[in-house]
Amino acid sequence: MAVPGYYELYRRSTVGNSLVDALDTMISDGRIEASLAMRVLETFDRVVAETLRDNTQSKLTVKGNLDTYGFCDDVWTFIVKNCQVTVEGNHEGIGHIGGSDGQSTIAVDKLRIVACNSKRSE
Amino acid sequence: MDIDQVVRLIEGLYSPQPSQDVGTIQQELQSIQKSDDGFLLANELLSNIAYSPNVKYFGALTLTVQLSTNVDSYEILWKIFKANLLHLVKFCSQYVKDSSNSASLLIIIKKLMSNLSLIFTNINEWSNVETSGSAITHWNNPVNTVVLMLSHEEQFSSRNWQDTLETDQLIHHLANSPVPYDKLMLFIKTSEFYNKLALMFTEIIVEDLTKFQSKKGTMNKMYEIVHEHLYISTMALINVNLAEWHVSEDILYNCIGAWINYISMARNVSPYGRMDLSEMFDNMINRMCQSTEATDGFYQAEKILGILANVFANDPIIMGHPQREELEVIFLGVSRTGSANSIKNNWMLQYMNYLVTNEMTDDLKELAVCVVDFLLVNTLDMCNKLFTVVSSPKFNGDNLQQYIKVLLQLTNFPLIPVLQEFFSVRMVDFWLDLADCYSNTVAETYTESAPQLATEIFQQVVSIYLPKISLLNKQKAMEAENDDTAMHEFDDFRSAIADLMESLWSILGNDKLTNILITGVGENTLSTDGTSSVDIFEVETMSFLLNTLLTDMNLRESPWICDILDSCEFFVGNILMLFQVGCESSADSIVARTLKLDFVRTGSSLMGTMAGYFQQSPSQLSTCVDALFQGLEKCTIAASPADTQLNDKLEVMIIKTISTLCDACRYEISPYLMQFTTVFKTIMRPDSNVSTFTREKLTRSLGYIIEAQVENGPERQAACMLEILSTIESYVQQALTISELPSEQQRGYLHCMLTCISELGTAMIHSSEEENETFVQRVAEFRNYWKLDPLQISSKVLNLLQLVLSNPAYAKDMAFVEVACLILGKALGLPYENPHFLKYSMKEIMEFLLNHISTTDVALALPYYVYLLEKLIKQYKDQLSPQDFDFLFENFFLQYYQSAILHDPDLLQTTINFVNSVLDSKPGLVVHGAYWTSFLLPEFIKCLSAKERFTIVAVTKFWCKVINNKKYIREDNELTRHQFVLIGQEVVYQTMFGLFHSQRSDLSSYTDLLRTTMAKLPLQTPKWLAAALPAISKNNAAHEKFISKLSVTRGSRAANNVILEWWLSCNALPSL
Repeated sequence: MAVPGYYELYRRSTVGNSLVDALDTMISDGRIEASLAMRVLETFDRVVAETLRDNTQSKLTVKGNLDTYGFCDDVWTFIVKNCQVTVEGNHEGIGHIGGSDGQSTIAVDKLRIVACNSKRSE
Repeated sequence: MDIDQVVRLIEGLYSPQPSQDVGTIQQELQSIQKSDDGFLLANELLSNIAYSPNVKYFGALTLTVQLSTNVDSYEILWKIFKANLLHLVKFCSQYVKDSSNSASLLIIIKKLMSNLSLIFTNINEWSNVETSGSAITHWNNPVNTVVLMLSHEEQFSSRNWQDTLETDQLIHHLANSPVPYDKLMLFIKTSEFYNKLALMFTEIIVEDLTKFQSKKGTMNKMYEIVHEHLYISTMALINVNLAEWHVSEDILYNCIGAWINYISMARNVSPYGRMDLSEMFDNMINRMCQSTEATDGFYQAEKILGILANVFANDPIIMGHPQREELEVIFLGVSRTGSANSIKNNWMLQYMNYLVTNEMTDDLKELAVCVVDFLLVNTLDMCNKLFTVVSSPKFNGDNLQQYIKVLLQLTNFPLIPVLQEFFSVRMVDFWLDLADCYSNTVAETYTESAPQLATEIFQQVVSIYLPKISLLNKQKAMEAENDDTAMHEFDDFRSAIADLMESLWSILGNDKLTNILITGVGENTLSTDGTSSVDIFEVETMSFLLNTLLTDMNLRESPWICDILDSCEFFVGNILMLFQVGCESSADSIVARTLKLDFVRTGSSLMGTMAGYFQQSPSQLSTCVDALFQGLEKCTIAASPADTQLNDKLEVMIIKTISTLCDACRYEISPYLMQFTTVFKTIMRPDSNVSTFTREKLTRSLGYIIEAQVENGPERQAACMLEILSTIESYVQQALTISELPSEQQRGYLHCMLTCISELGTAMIHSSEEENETFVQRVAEFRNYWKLDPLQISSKVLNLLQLVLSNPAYAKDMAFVEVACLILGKALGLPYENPHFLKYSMKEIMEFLLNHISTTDVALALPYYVYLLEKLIKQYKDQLSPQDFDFLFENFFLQYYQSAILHDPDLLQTTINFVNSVLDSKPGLVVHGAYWTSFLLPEFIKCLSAKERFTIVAVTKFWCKVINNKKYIREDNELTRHQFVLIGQEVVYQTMFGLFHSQRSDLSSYTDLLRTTMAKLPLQTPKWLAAALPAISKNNAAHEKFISKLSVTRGSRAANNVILEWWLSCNALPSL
């Protein structure tokens, strides 16, 4: 049983943006209708959410200065400054140098975390 | 085309080996389906008994196509509605009479039902459309209509299922006639197939309604009708099936699942979406408890638990409190409110026993998921009852103790986690939730006994999980499974426990968690007769968790922890033993290799984490470093390719720990400089069997120790550095002369040598956070020394770079250009007072770059040169003039602009970003230069219509900085403003042209530029826009709206929306 309705936030990811651009081109060329494009994006929302839930095992740890935080409409937003982001548990293996053993650390000046409730419909 | 041809095409379409191209067949058939003849065709295909199920299905599909393409009035909808109903009733009737021979009809029946579900929505949602004639304008309950029509089947069959005047009247009459409960029951009891069809129909309707989620805001009327009519019939159907019949029909459970889905969605968007499911859940629970091994092999229980698991995972509050409490008693034998029923819990125990006995691990896992998801619903309530005074007075403390006891037992499920049981794995989430709830509760509301109770409970949780996450269990799990899944799952389990420990630390504190683990690791060691009283697996487990806790602490500033560590005399020894056992253990199988890695990882990580402790108590530091080097030495011996792979990983872990210790304990470790230098000289040899990573990390580690040599003044430091650099120099010269060395190997080796110099440079940068007192006192002495550099160390490095880069192959190799730029730029940007051996003057760096630009491939080297040039300008901006900038721009950019930069978007971006960095640093250098008006402004206007996002981002940033730059002095400001007013029209035109032709995802790149232009030139910009836009797109209404909105818009997001709106309007695209 899947609760219908998924967040649209992944549409703003690189892959989501590329999909929207591709759909725009197809609509402009008259190859698909706008309604089909919307259907594709709805499917995209679902598939990305499910894939991230089911097929990822990495864990990301953030250490830094919490600059701003807020909670509105069941969405947490954090802005963390001068932080170290550690990605671990990437079983596919990150490069040998600097990131052996499935762990790598990235220094980030400003990080924005938007956290939504995965169990809630859109 | 006649009907036979159509039938042949359909058969061809569904044939496994079609004689024609399927695409062509589809096109032909689709054109007929969409045409006005589509309805007649569908009727014919569905009426002729001789046609195959495929052809009939195609008929039903044609009705779907007609519904979505040819319906523009109630009358047409009514016509299709009647045809669909008549065919559905006909096929249902055939199916019920002879189900064994008519099973193939089910797919057609489902399609016709789906069509009717679409009609159900359409009729009811078109409520405001006028109609004439006999068409109905609302439809309450499709299931009732079909039930009634099947009850009047003879009247339709006698008219050969045709749409006649009589059937029209009859359908009109039956469409919204009610079916009382008794009649419905009578109907479904007439035949089990009627029952099945009714369940199937209601399932299809709500599944389709759920799929129409994008329209859900406008479907309020549908929700109301479903709530008032279909819900009542369906609940009657489901409940009677659950309560009275014990057929194991999946259709019943599919129907229940679909309805839960629908209500879960609808109750969030409409008041009519709220529908009570208590009776259904009661019946499900009863039925589950009646399912046993003897009756149905727990088949029904498994199905019902599957549905409940999904409910708890997605929308647990759809189930009411009484049902949840009943389930609690079934799952745990006791509830939080005090109810207890051992009989119902016995069923659960029997079921678990059945799953364990039959080794049904997957089912046991699903049960664990279901139970824990269920428990998670009530964590907050449980936390309140256990620990606070918020709970109601009727709450029974003893009962809750019993409840917790059951949960602890469940966590301590007596099998191997991951491999055989999942309760302990899933319960981590529960304990984590409970711990977080407790920590987040306001302390004033705690009961008197709450802290004591919390400590007792969570200490038990820790004791349960310690043996659970032992690598012994991982070993068993890996041995039992052939793939890596078990290993990864077990690692995830361990990580989850590590997270849990972090949360528990805030409750148990160091006293009851960290110290216990430290004591656990360090209380015993090998006895004198050599027999071990230490369980190495236990040490590993505790070290693993301890590492998680200590990582978040600054041990240097935690004397109480250091005291505990000091008091455990075997602590460091046992960590070393763990590490050494890992290094020396065999690696003859995948399992052995994995465990070896785990042991070394845990041991070495903990040693690294304890760096702060070694700063306070350095007595055992040298033993640790010795052991690490011995481990490193073992990594150089490899008997097989698998060993090499393993050794690479071990080597990286060990050298990282060495580097961490040398960084943190540089002063404590400084007496060992000689030994480190000896090791350095050995591993730097070309024939040494270590990785480049190890060489580089060790050089940096050595650098840390040299950096700490401040007692004997800069001379001592310089002497050490000279020794290191001379070693590198001699190996470089040696490598350059050995012609038989394979070129790739030589290249890698030489590159590594240069990288080592860069690493040494990094290590020698003083951290302002950790100032050494002696150094602070003597800083002027160090600064003067390195200014004079009597040993000519910086020249030595520069000469070495020149030597390597004099080889044309290396001069054109970007890895070498990169490392050379890194070395030269290492000390650029350091404060004046910080001494460094790699501080080069502007002249030295410029000479180096100008020498090499002619021998290298500029197209590839430019980004590295720009890195250096940017740092150089920042460092020496006060000494530079606009003429210097012109010289620099001409020699590094202008000369190559037409030949290389212009055609390469990456280089173009690099060039623009370089100018941007100067505008950020000292804009006067560029705006008063000769190339500003003659080259930069006209050329960068053209770039505004670039296609590549990174070019657009860079160039819009450039124009923003031109218009609005805080670093401008008054002269710069006046000059650029005057210049921009002259070219503003062209800039705005190119911006809007680029924006119009860009992709949706690139639009935001233009926002800041448009906002800045409008803000800084509010009078001119609307005019420029008004002149530019008609030449770009002929949509004057959109242009006017855009200009007026943009001129009053504040904020980036709002401006983004205004731009998007204009772009969509001009490109005729939907908002998506």
